[in-house]
Amino acid sequence: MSLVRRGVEAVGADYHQWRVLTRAMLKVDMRSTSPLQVGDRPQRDGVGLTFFFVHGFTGVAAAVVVAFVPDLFGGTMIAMSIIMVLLATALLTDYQTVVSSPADFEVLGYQPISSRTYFLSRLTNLMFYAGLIGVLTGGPSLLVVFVKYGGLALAGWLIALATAVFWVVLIVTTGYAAMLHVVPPDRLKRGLGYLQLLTSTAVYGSFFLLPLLIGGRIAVSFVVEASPWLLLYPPVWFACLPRIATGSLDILDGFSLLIVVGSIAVMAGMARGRLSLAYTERLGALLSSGTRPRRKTGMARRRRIPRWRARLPPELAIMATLIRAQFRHDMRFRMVVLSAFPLALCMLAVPFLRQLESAADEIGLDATMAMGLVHLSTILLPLTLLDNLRYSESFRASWIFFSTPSDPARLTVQAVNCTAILFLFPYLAMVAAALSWIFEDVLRGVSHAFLLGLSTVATLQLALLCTPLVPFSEPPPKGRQSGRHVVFAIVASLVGYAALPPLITFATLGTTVFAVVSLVMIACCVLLQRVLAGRIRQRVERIEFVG
Amino acid sequence: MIETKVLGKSYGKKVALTGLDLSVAPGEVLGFLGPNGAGKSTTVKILTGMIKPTSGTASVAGHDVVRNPLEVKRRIGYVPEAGTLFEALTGKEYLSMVAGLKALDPTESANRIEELMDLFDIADAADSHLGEYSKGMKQKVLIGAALLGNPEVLFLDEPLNGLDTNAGAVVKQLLRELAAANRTVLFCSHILEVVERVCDRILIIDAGRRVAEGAAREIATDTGTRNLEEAFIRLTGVRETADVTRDMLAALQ
Repeated sequence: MSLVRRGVEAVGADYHQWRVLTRAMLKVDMRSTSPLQVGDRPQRDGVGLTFFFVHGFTGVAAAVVVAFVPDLFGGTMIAMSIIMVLLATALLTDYQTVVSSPADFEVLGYQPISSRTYFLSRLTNLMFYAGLIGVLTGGPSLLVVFVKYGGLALAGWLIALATAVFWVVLIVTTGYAAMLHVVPPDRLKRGLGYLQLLTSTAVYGSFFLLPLLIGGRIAVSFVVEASPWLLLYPPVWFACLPRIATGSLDILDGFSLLIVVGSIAVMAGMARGRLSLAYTERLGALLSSGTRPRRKTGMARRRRIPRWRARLPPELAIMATLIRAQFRHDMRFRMVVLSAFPLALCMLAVPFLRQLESAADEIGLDATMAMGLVHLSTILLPLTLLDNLRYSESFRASWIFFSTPSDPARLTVQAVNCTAILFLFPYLAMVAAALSWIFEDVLRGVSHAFLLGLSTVATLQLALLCTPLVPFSEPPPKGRQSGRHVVFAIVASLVGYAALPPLITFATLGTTVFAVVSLVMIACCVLLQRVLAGRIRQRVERIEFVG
Repeated sequence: MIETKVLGKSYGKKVALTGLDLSVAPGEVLGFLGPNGAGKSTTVKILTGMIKPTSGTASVAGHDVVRNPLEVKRRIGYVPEAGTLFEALTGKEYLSMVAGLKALDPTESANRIEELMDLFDIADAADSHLGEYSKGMKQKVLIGAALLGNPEVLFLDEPLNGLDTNAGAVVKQLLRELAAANRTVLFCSHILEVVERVCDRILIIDAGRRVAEGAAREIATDTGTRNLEEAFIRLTGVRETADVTRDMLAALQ
């Protein structure tokens, strides 16, 4: 009997069913299809080169850090931070469906599979991707560690990487599993939303804010100051493992080792206990009960559409309705939105924690880095959300765009406006308030936010020009979301760190310069809007709905 | 073979099914009818072990659906109304997956799958993704999947959805033959002519309760109507059809 078979049967799953189901799930992931056809070929959107390129690129970046940071502990900790955050982001945005997708229930609910077999198969599916991400992001660092520190450090690094990947998978799955166990089905959707918000805040908060709070200044300046408070930062636990392998064992290392072993044992025990639960039934109950209907009050029944809303362009109103409905009912979209906000807010919080109010000049390296984060978050949030407007669980419903006299090009253009109105403008208001407080100058804060907003709108338009979309018309891809996040982060970093600071410094030299720069940017946005409409119309004319 | 006693299901305060007694013998085809939202799909989901009842008991093929759902699932074939499939799989892969989950012999099931696809006239599309199939072709795959393993009990929820006339005729004939081979069939459909022709007995439910049971002719006689359709409307319709149509036309104008 093979080792794998023994392992599968040890947790009470059926080996043959597990193998059949895991194989089918992987095929499903690899071959997501779209109902749209561009020209003669169907639009396919499976796990592709982007996944390998983006994670490989991140792996090289982590290896560069390991190569240049002088000590093994510091380099490993930064590399582990990058790997763990990327993996957690992937799990939160791409793979949370492991325990929260009720779609499986419709296909598998009446097949003779036990909940253990189903869950184990899903977990294997998840581990496959997590392992792949681990190899791509950690592989190049292994090579550097071997050349720089030798074989023992390599063995330690390998163990650290494997346990870190396993730990992240366990913490996310046990979190969702516990939620499924505790929350009644009719509140599950909302409960999972809160959990997503909480987990994202914990992941991004620990990456961006915890190092600043504990005084280590890890995330931004790459300098590690030894402190027992470092134990609050999970990548530290795993960074101690290569050091232990090379013969060091101080108090920090000892406690880290204990925490790693202890937490994995506790979570594995919890997961094993949860495996006995009828997951499919819980998910089925979620599917059957749906959302709790709201009781209509007399006021609500009589409510008329406000006059200002009736005056909106119809496509804008349609997009707003679609986005709102999508957020309420599409679990995947809801999860992506809920994980994007904590990321943006954590980035926005960095300047506060760095006490920039006392050094508000944007010339110093620290200030530029922190201000760059504010720019990055402002651009990244709507960019991620706009990109997600192309995917929907109900993608087949997009036939409506092709069978009614609506203009998909206008709808797509309005998707940018809607993203700006619903997500960007409220966030910009927060940024303006934050910057006013940091600069102690309201006018400077508001004008900075104004220029930042215009740049973001232009970036959104450019992004759409490069990859046009028809709203909610493609099946949600698996394994691509986190990769796209990284691409967006690179684009947003280029704009936020390289292009914006000199532009804003120049524009805020005087009122006339500011007015001229603003007018030029507004003109650019208007021009881009026209070009965008033309490009999308061209593209839409080539698209056929074949689904 | 299928038996329920005072079966009930509620979602919070919403009652989907209440006090349903049902019995279908081997070799019998029961037509299970009701208007939209009457509780048909809820009943079928309970009987196929997908959801648990909140009251009462149910057994299928001699096994309690709550205590032994896996044993029940091993003995049934189900064509769900929603007809959801893993659309990225090919027709052949999907059927092989179902055969694997039902623990059928791989060689034998491969032959059976080819045979079924051939009989349903979808052999040419065996290696195409299900996402590229028409509605009727998908329905044929679902029926094929339900028949794999020669189950003792069949639950068919709108099995004729999207099927062309030829395939529909095959399915109707197949139901009769399966019943003759002592299989138990629970057949849900809104096409009353088909129900009348195929089923031995009919059970009509409305708002989660049983409102009529018997042969089509008996139900019509009991309700003082000419046929099953009129009886169904009399038993479950809130308003006269003519009134609703008139109001709809008025609304359109």
